[in-house]
Amino acid sequence: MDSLIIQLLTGLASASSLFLVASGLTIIFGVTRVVNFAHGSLYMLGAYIAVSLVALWGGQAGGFWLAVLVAVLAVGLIGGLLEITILRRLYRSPELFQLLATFGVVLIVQDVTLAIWGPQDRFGVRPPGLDGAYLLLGHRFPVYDLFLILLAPLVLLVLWTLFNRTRWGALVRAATEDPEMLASLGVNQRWILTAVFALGSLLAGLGGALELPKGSANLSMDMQIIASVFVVVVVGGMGSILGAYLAAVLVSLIRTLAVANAELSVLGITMWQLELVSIFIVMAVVLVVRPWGLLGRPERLHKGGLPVEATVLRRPGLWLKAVMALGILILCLLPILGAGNYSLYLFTEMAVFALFAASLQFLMGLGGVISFGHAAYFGLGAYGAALAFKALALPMELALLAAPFLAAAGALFFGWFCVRLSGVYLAMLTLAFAQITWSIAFQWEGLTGGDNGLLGVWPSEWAADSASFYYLVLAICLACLFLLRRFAYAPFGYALRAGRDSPLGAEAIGIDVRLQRWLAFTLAGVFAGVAGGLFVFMKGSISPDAMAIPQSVDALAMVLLGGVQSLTGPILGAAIFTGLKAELVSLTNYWRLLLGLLIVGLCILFPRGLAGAGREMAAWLPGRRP
Amino acid sequence: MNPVLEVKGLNKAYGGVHAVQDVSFNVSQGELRALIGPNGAGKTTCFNLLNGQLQADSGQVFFQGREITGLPPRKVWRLGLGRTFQIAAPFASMRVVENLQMALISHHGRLRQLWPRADRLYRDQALSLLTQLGLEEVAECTCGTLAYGDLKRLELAVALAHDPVLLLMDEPTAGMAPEEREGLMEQVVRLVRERGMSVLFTEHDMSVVFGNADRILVLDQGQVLADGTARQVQDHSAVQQVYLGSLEVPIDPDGQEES
Repeated sequence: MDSLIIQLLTGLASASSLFLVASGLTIIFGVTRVVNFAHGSLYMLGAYIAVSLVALWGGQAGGFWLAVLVAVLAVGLIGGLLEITILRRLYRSPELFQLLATFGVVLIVQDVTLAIWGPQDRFGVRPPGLDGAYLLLGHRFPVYDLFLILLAPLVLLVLWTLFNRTRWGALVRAATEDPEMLASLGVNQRWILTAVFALGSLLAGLGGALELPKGSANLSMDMQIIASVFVVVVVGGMGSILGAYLAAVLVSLIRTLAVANAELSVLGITMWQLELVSIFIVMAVVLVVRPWGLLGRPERLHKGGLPVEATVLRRPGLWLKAVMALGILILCLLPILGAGNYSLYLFTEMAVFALFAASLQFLMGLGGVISFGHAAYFGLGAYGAALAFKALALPMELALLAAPFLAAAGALFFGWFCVRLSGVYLAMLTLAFAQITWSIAFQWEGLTGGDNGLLGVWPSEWAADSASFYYLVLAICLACLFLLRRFAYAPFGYALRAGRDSPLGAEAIGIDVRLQRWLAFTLAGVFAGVAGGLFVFMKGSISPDAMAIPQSVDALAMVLLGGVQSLTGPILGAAIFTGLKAELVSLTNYWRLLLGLLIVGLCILFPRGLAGAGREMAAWLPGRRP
Repeated sequence: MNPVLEVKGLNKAYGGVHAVQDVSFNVSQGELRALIGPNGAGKTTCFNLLNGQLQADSGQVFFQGREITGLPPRKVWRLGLGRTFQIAAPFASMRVVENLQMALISHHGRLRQLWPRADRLYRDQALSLLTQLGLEEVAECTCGTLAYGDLKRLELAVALAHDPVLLLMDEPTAGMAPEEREGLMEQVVRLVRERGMSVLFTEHDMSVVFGNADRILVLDQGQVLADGTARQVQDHSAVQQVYLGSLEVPIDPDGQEES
């Protein structure tokens, strides 16, 4: 019993840092509607800046707290600058472009941090005066943990007062409720948004700086926290600070209990194995029961959603058909034209990702279902093929067949939950499910090889040389892309679009929108799975990275950069994105920085994607109707 | 003869507000039935309860003798009860004719087919329906480019596609110019009589109501105030007081909106 209380207290302490970061994100989302992937990066920056400053001044308590204060203010400043330089230019763009731009920031911050602080973990110190421990119920309990436990409710109170008892808070709430009305009352919202972003960033920085004494500043902390923070924000209800606190406590308690009872096993699964998965299960359960989180409010139509531009199906004209035929012909002739092994590998990779991106676009552009976790099905396909090859010792041909089946099973199961939600909540749930599959691959070492993954998954002899394998991949990908196209033009695709264009109208002519979306989710999963299966034989190995968040965002980037409005957009987007990435990786160690800058730049310059920009330019040509 | 639609004691409350309170009425075969009432009387709520978009707190709805209370809209539609919306909600990314083809594809149970080209299915049927409503010229336009009157007509065409037994029309002429309204109502009346269909419609334009409806149901604050022929409703003193506000029933030939 005593140890249970200690465990609960430990859980509360770790909830504090999570809450600080999550409250920042939820404030930013509530006011600007931006899903800020870079929030984890701000948290990481807070930790790194604090670790450097504490090393300088941290000998005494005063110096330590001064270091934390300066670090936190610095992160707030960085956040404000981000808003002014990047996000402010994107408020009028489709919401997904804002999200993509913030992911570009993630990449930039990763490399900048690496350049400044190096790859080694930096360990923090306990602040002087709080470095001891109390004897509590016969256990040693760190004073610092007690401090954290008390800090969170204090911050909650300060934020509540700020938003509910000050003029500034009233303006912020007004900006959240009805920005148009506030603007027509003569209030300049630009600086409100900047200030809110800075405040949110500051909280992320505070979370990072205060987490430091319990651990280290390291380069993977941004992605590690962002998934948990998304869960907390969504479970609490997006925009609700109190909700974020409750959710942070809930999530941390469950996690702490799982860690503390790691050896306990239920149905042969130990708590240790459940630890990573547990919080995502909590999220799935909460969202099924309360689709808007614990304290969230239902999203208003058009305001809280993540509208995607519709894919408009144009029957390709003669020109486009000719260009497409020529393109396919060139692709088929590549090995004969003397393309080297490296180029063939690159084109193989492009084909695989074109299929992956097209499968996501099928779901997003036609169905209006936004997935932040499409990599789950890519990864399931990859693991399906790899396991069939390794564990079942099947040949490549049969292993490739196994890929879509495992992906379909996953998509069918996860999709059932996802299509019950809409907008940001749906997107976040897809992300959570992707994290669940990632955690399973990561922790089920006996089957999946854990972090190292599965190695030595090579094609059959006849497809072993790069030209033959290229032809194999090209044939399968072209066939699948053709099928996806065909489905889009078929009644199924039309009904899917009907449900996106007007859900009420679709239901009123007998369309079961939810069922249609569920099937589309599954189909998209199947094709992503095929791509994943090909991917594993291309690489010769597979690791959990294949279904990590960056992989899902890559797919989004391909679709958005190519342009979600047309079926060819994502294919172009995938080719360009894959090519660019390969080029940058070969060019410099700091390819993330360049890729990030490129993504941010493209989002700002081409808010309708490259295909959209191309169409707009074509509209300017003489003799063309817009 | 059995009524096509029979509504018994329908109730729906939001918090303390009784949007629809103990409403009972019926619609006969081939009848053009109007549902009128001031803003906030519960007309649209009533429609939403009838086609299953909202769940009633209590009460029953029978369609052709079969209870449909609580069925979702898509199932109600499959039984032959269609509806149009107050604010037209077409499938904006599709062409006009494709909107209609969509309804026909759904009607024929082919929504989950992956192979055939949707734009080639039931095209002739869709075009002939568009011609009946005078929309043949805009058949290939994207819905986003249509004039509002044409959108309302398109919605009607979509609702007619599966040959409904009963059609619920929520303000079919809302937002249209006066001369357009009469044109549309004439079309509706003609189609209804030709097909032997029943229609229940709400409308603010009193000339449209009194000029076309066989029977009129008056709602006020969620309750049935009067129910009968145009003459009976006109003579009803409570209707005059509460709804029309004057003793003179404004059968206005210019179709000015009554508010």
